[in-house]
Amino acid sequence: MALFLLIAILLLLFIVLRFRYPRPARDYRHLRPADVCVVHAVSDVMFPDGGAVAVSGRTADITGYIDRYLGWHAPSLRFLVRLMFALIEHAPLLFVPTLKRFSDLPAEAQERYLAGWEHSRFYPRRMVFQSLRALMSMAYLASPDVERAIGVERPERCEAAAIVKRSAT
Amino acid sequence: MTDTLYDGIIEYKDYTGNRRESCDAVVIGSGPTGAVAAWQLVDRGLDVILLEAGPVRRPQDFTLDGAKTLAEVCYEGGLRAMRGKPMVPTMQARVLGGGSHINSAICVRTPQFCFDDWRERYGVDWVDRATLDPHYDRVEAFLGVGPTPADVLGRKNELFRDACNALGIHSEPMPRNVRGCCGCAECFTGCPTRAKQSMDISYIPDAVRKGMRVFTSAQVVAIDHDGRQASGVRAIIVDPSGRPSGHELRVDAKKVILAAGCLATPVLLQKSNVPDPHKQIGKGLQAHPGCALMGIFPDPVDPWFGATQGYQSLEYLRDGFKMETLWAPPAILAVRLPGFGKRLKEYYGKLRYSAFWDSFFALKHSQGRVRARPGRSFNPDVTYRVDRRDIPTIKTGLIKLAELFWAAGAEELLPGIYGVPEVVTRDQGLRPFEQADLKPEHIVLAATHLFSSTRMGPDPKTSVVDPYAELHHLKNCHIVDTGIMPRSPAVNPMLTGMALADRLAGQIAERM
Ligand SMILES: Cc1cc2nc3c(=O)[nH]c(=O)nc-3n(C[C@H](O)[C@H](O)[C@H](O)COP(=O)(O)OP(=O)(O)OC[C@H]3O[C@@H](n4cnc5c(N)ncnc54)[C@H](O)[C@@H]3O)c2cc1C
Ligand code: SF4
Repeated sequence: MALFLLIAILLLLFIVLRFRYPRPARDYRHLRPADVCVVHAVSDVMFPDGGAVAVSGRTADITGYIDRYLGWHAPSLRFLVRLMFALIEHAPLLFVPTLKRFSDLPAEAQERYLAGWEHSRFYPRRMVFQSLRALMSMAYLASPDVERAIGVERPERCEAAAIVKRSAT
Repeated sequence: MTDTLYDGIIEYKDYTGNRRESCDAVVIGSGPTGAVAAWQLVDRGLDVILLEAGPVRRPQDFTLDGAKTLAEVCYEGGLRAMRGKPMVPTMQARVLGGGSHINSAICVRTPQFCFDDWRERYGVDWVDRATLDPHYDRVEAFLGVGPTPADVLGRKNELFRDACNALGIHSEPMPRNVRGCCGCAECFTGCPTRAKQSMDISYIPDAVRKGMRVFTSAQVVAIDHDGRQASGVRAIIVDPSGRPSGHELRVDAKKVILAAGCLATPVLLQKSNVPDPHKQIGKGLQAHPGCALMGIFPDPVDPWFGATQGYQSLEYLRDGFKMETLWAPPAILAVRLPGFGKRLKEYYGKLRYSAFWDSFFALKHSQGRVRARPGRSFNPDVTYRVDRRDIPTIKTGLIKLAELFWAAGAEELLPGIYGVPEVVTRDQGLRPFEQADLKPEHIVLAATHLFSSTRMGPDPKTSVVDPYAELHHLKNCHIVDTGIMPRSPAVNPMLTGMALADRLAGQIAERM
């Protein structure tokens, strides 16, 4: 009985420690603290500072965009997106393997871990990665700073012919 | 700015309670097929009501954010996929004008060899080029269909043209339903200049001027029938995001004409318990799965300049694929780029130097099925299986695309295919594609052309509607959307869908 109690307490402690997340620096409508941690971490690995497009994922406010994005969708989709975040966050247990969560792994280990998802021979695992990258990319590319850095423009003659000018939208 | 284009159209804000209307013919769905059918019926002097689940979308509602457009304008937030291996994303617009509001305005006539195939396999001997050409002519004239002018091609389209010329294969400027296109490449998020002649600015306002009544935000949830004939429909009023308002609209009609789209129509029929003794409704779904390659050139291409999809090659239609140029908001296209971190950013940095061209496939062996989900959801449950026997067609389509890119002077290709290197260089040529041991789930496909879920045919055991597009087992209920095509039209389906609707609506009016 005592042994059983001890195991139960240890398990509870493990769960509490493992699933506790700090309060984010700002409020989000749809993302919970755990989601924010994962999105920040993935965004840092996928869109780090510097490189060909200098804007980082943090500067592009990927997390803020994803929060708004979830608001445009039905609760069932929000649930699926959160499930995907939780999977990425906790699956190091299976694929590294380590007791650490994805967001707690050192940067290099995070990269190796995501590369494992990207190149997996298991189709559903690749699909999860593709969905994650698609979501992060949509958020990144929606940033006007990123658009400018990439060089996206509307031809002048189209701006002139537009029913509603872009500057007014 | 006063915008009188939509005067007379009932919108969400106009509903104050339940309503009951009656008419000669009620058309469900305002996409290309529904709009043309409704216009044709009104033109023949019938009293017509057009019901559309989506809202009116005006230029001030447009956003260049591709993900937001998907979420706002498409069913299931634009995240619909056909289940299978691979999962194939697909989308349907929920807006006045249906698919024409977000599509690239490509209008191509189906070649005769396809109609021969429809006749040989499904006994459809009542449509061919000779019977449809007058309808193609009429629709094209109404919508100003013409080749994309040289001054709005932009480099992504010109490179495609030059590559086809260099290889000595057919190519032509894309025929499109536009008037005065400036080449901004924003067709998907909504044409900012109203150059694109989508249904919401062409057929529908004209039909309203002739007396048609249009109710937007009216989602039909049931076809009224007694098991032998249809007598009208019931709709719920939904807000622009699709949430029910609590109000209802009932329409009594002599004819019910379904044009809700290839996925929505079978669901509506199944939910309405329409007789289907041979279980044909939703069966045999066909698609044009497509795959795009990104080619990187030494000089800037600026793919965001020039008509969205301005050039095509019909060279390989008989081999089962069509090649064309492609553009969509970066947020949608770039999601298929490989890698992450600095590598991914490097590819984003090369977007200015890139062109996206795609092949889409008319696959002989692959097909799917549409089923209604249990409960109150009207979202379809769609399965689609890419058959291994079709892989050689897909492979050839990709190789021919790669060949085009090299002929155009591309330095690198990003195929986005599992098992093919992330970047294929000029030196590697076609080898990585030729040597790839492709399986269906290795290829990233998407399908925006769907058909054959409610096939027409002479035999009630193998089809859903007869030569007049009337259900074999329910009188006064017709289908005119792309679901009635017995098989692939080989090319982009909108124009053939409209020509068929034009013909069928005329016949329905004559028989009333
Ligand atoms: C992004 C994209 C680009 C494309 N580009 C091209 C192109 O350039 N050329 C081409 O030939 N094809 C193109 N296609 C395909 C083409 O748009 C479709 O084949 C065409 O729109 C089909 O027309 P439809 O009338 O059958 O159905 P839809 O266009 O889907 O119209 C059906 C309408 O019915 C409404 N509806 C559905 N259910 C209900 C209900 N229960 N009650 C009331 N209303 C309902 C929908 O909201 C919708 O507006 C493209 C498709 C997409 C998604
Ligand atoms: S390219 Fe631009 S102007 Fe031309 S039809 Fe498309 S959205 Fe309209």
